[in-house]
Order: sequence, then structure tokens, then C-alpha cells
Amino acid sequence: MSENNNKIPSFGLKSNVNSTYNHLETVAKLSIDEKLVNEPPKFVDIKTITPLNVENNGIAQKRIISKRDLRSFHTSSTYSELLNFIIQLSLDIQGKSLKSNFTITKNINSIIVLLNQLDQYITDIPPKQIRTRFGNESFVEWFNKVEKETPKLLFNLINDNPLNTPITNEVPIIYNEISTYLQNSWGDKQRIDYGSGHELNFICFLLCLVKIKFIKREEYELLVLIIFNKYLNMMRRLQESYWLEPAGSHGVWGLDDYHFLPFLFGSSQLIEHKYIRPKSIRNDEIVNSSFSDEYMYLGCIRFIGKVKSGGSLLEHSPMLVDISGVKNWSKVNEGMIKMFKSEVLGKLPIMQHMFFASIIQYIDNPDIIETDEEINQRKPIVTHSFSSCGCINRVPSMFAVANTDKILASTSTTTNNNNNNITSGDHCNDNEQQCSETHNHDHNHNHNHNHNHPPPPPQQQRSYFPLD
Amino acid sequence: MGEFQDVDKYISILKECKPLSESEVRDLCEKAREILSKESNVQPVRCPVTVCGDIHGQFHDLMELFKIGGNCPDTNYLFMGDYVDRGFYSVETVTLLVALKVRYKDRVTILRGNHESRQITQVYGFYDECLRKYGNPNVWKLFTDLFDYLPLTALIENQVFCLHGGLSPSIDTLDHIENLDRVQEVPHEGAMCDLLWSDPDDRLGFGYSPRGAGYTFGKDISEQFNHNNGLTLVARAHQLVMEGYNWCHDQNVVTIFSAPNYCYRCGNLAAIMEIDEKMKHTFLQFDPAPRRGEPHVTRRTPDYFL
Repeated sequence: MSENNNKIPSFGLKSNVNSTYNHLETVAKLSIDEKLVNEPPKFVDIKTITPLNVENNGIAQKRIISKRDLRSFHTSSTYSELLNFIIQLSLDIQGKSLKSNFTITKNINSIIVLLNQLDQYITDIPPKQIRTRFGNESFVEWFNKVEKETPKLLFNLINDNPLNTPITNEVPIIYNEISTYLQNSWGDKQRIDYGSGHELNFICFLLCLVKIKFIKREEYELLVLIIFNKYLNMMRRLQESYWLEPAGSHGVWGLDDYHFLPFLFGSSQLIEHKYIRPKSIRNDEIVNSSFSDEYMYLGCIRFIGKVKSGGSLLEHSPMLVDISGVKNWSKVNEGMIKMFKSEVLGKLPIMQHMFFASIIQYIDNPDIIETDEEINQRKPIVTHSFSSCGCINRVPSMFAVANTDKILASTSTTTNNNNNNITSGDHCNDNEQQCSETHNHDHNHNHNHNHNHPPPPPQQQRSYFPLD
Repeated sequence: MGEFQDVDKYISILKECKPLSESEVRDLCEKAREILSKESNVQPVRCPVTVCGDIHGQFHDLMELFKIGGNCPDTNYLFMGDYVDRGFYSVETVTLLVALKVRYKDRVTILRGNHESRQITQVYGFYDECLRKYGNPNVWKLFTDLFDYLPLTALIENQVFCLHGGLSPSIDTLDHIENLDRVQEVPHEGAMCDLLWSDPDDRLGFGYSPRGAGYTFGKDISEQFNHNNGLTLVARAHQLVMEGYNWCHDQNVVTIFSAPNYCYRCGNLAAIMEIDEKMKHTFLQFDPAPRRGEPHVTRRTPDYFL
């Protein structure tokens, strides 16, 4: 394998086990085109770009509805770009401690200031004392505050204004698009929960900053070791203050209740480390040492030890214990990238929530055809059809163009709840009354008994895969 | 007594938190299917009975539950679903509950939760656990095929209606539920889905559920449903509540959650609801089982890291 000519610029990183081992070469094979693994993403000009989703004020939209869409996404340049971005971030922090002597650049510093402000809101909005469910309702208040401020903060950030410069005119809607990613990085307001899909939104936010040329490749190490680490600490604070439920956690059978990327980035930090081995996570002395302040992977283990009670690491985190048997950190990092591709980027329950617009585009591949098995798995349950509801007439033009085939196909055969996704959440609001009336009418048709209670609202953005 | 010889043996193995062999699971599931397939979508239950919520593979805490509530068959039990996923011992937990059902079919009722589903268990851990403990997905297949037969709801003495999730806009009366064809994977929409996915809410009427399945339902809906069906109470599970139980909708609905310190981190109490011969209810709360020994599994490097 390694005898092939290496077209990738080598960083000269060598493993002490095998002198021909090259980690860059290894992880490059995990990208879509290994020759392009170190390529920059496609840049856009924020001043001239034509924003999409104008009907929704530019707010980025969910576009992956079915397994077919996910397979289509995996063939797109957007996917390749996103994956390369994560690999490049991982490569650029290889062997580096969080406590390295960094030179903080101006733009990185501006992001720190912005995050500090959002962090301050957590202090300003204490958790409510009265509670019945797990999640604390004050999170909603914090979230609303962030939602309101983010587009303005981002406008000032990107235009090099002091962060709290008053904005007199309306912020151009392209900033709403970037805001979507930052806003959705913190969890779900209604469910008061957080998971690796939200973490992915933060990466998408950083990717936006790179694509609009706000951040340069030389700053990637700062992006991870300063900005992502700050985000991680803020997330822990949010989790602890407002008791966010773990979204879609696999419980003991997953890596962690909330996070994935600190393990991926963290394993890269530890490659070639003099003392710390993968098995060191089972050594309390190391986990409780200052090494955990330097390396995200160990920091995560320490944090898990702090928040989990009533069982050993082997019982509540068997996956991490399994991984501690891997011989070196390069292998752990390689495995983490493979696992991230499969368990996050490859999973519909997570990816159905990914947002797309003009900077991070959903590019549909018409050659990807839904298989019979995929259609079967969808098992559509008819509740109402677009034709009788009239919804199809109010599909925003941009969606209508992209999804005409799918929507027509579904109305002519059988209605499926997936298309419901595309339409109902996006347009029913425009004409809510009419829409709910038609829903009501239709509902009575579909069931053979009479209803005497008010009809349910149309489902907004019904997920293909429910979230537990 | 010979009839239950095998099942008694299974139960004694399982009570030590040891999984059965694949062939034993197959045998058990066949016996269980025969029993469950005869049960109704609204399975009638007599009092006294103790009603329990989510367990999620927290085997040691289930043992604690039996300590608090009384052993089977001395105490009658009604479990409202979510036996598997997230916890370390979903296999042992669900196998034991199914074995108890087979052994004491008139004293144990097990309903279906939203996690008793092929799709959900492939995401939230039960599938991974079966692979890890058996090396193949056969046991996962046996159980998820059995889950299709679990009753959706139960009715205690025609008064207390028990189910995992909540009410549905497609269902006004218990007769509607009786008419559902339940032997199938939990659908993404419709009455059967709603019963396993819905949650009570402060807002009136039916509302959009942030879970992406089922609905939220308000006090007006619960009151009307109880009134129409001559019920005193809807008992349900499905949501983590810090005290283990939580009243809502003017005591028309109660949520019961029986997995203490959920996921080793949530710090919540667990609870069960005892209903006595006079239909009087009492809640028993409990903490996690005291520390126990290390789990006995061999370390296996996940494929991604080979």
C-alpha cells in the first residue's frame, strides 16, 4: 500500500513502530479523493454571493430527507469539502497541546470575544429553581437571546466592527444563513437537548468562516485548539447549567453522551506523545493530572469521570475502554475519522438535521435513485395528501424546482411523510388557517370515525427518523 | 411443574445478570410469542398491580425495583415499555422480563415502548449490545420480531389506562385502539405510533412534537379522553422526570420513570406506582442499586480501530 508514489505533501510524521508509516497518507485514504485531501474548500465572496432561501430570510434549510438524499449528499463536492475540512483540522493539530504558545490572530480573537459574549449570557440567565423534567426551561431563554443577537454579532464580526456596534439597517440575509449554523450548535431549544449533530453545526459554522475567507488555513490549529476547545467548554457549561438531555445518545454503547469531535481531534493531539498511550485513559493518575488540561481526549475522560456515577468506566463507557486497547494514537485517530464518517456523517437520524443554503450547498445528484428497499423502509403512512391539502401550490420556488420530481411522484402514487417534511414546515405558516382547515377536512376523510376534538396542527419539519 | 422447568432455569440464570444462549432465547421468544399474540391491544389487568416506567437496560436497578416493589409472582407487575437501549444490560433485562411474562403470564404485563422497535434499537444501543454479547445480530432479530406482538396499552379495572407515550388525535375511544393491527414495526405516523411517542404538554389541544413522532396533548384532551372512556387516570412513561413520577393535567395524567440516575448521570430518582385492591395508588421512589461488581465482558476493539 505504502509503496505507491506519494503525491501528498508529507509532513514527515513517522511512527516509531514502522518508519515508513505516514499518518497523512493514511488519513488521506479516508477522504473522497486522497489527492485532494489538503485542498482548500471552494471560496465564496460574502459581498456578491446570491443568498438562497430568500423566502425564509436566508435561514439555511434541512435538505436530507431520505436515505437516498443522504447517498446523494455523499457524492457531492459539499460532502467532500466538509470531510476534508475535518481531516485538515485534525492534521493541523497533530502533536500539539492546548497549552502551546500560540500567536492569536486578530480574527481568531474576534471569535473569542463573540463566544465570550454568548458565554456571559449563561451567567446572566440562571437556571430556574422549579423543575419537573430534566432539561431546565431557562435554556429556552438563553437560546432565544442568542438567536436574537447572533446575526448582528456575526455581521460585526465579519465586517471587522467592534462586536456591539449598533446596527441601524437590516443585516443582509447572508448573515442569517451563517447564523443558522452557530445558532444550532448549542442544542435544541424545544427538546432541551444536545448531541453530535449540533456539534457538527459548529464545524459547519467554522467552515463558513473559512469559505468566506475570514479564516485562513494557517489559523486551523487555532480554530481547533482555541475556538473549538472554547466551544467544548461552553457546551459543558450549558449541559451543566441547564441540564441538556443527551440527544440520540447510544448510552453506554456510544463514545460519549454528547460529543464526538473532541475524541477525533484529541487523538490527533496525542500522536507521538512521549508518555501518554491510548491505555493511559485507564490510569486515574494521568487522567487527573494537568495532561487533561492539555489534551482534549484526556479532558473528555476526566469530564466523564466527573459527571458519571454508579459504575466504572468499563460499565458506563465500554467503547472508550475498548479503544484504549488500540496500540497507538495514529490508529485511534484513523479509527475516529472512520467512525465519524460512518456514525455521524453516514447516519440519517443525524444528517436529516444538517442545514444547507448558498455557502454550504445541497447539490442533488439525479443519478442516485431510491432503491426498492429504501422505499420499503420508509413505509409511508397516509395521513393527508398534498393534492387535497393544496400544499403543493405554496412550495417555495426554490424547493419546488429542486424537488418537483419527488413531490409529483409522491402525489401521484402515495403520500409519504418525507415530502411532508419539505413542504409543511416551510410554507404552511404563510397561510396557516387555510392549511389547517384543509388538514382537518382531510383528516376526517382518512379515518372512518368521527372526531369531535380540535384537529392536530400540521406537522412541522417532521423528521424521517424520530429522535427518541 | 414440568411445564415451566426450562423457564425457571432461565430466570435463575438471568437473575445473576447472565445472558441466555441464543437457542435458549429462541425457545423463550417462541413461548412468549404464543402468549402475547393472544393478548389484546388494550390488555385488561386486575388490581392489585404495580405499574413501572422505562428501564433501559439498567439491570441492577431493575433488581432494586423488585426489592422495593416485591418479587414476582408475589407482586403483580405492569411494565410500560422501554426495556432496552442505552443501558449496559438491555439483553439481560429484556430477557428476564420476557421470561417472567412467560412464567407468570397472568401476573406480569409487558407493553411496547417506542424503543421496542427495529429502527430505534439500531440507533440507541440494543443492536450494538447484542452484537457485542453474541457476536451476531440473531438475538436482536429474535427480540425485535417478538416486540411486534407486545400489547400497546393496558387497562386496570376499567379505570386506569396505561401506555408508554400518550394520546393520539386519531383515537377517541378504547375501541379504536382495539381495532388497530398492532403486529408490525412501529410506524412513523398514525395512531399506533402516537400511543408510543406522544407527550403531555402545558398547551391545550394537540401540538407538534419536537421528537418528530407522535404529538403533544393538552389538559383538555386528557380530560375529554378520560371522561369519554370512563377513566380516572392515564398512566404513562416515556419521559425522564426527576422525582421518578410527575402528575400533570390536574391529575388526569401521571408520568412514571423507573430508571434511576439515568445513563449514570441524570441524578434522577426512579419510581413505581402501586395500585392496591381498592384501587388506591401509592408511589414508591428509589435510588440506584448500590455499587456492584465489574461487568464480565471481554474487551473487543471496534472494527473502525482494527
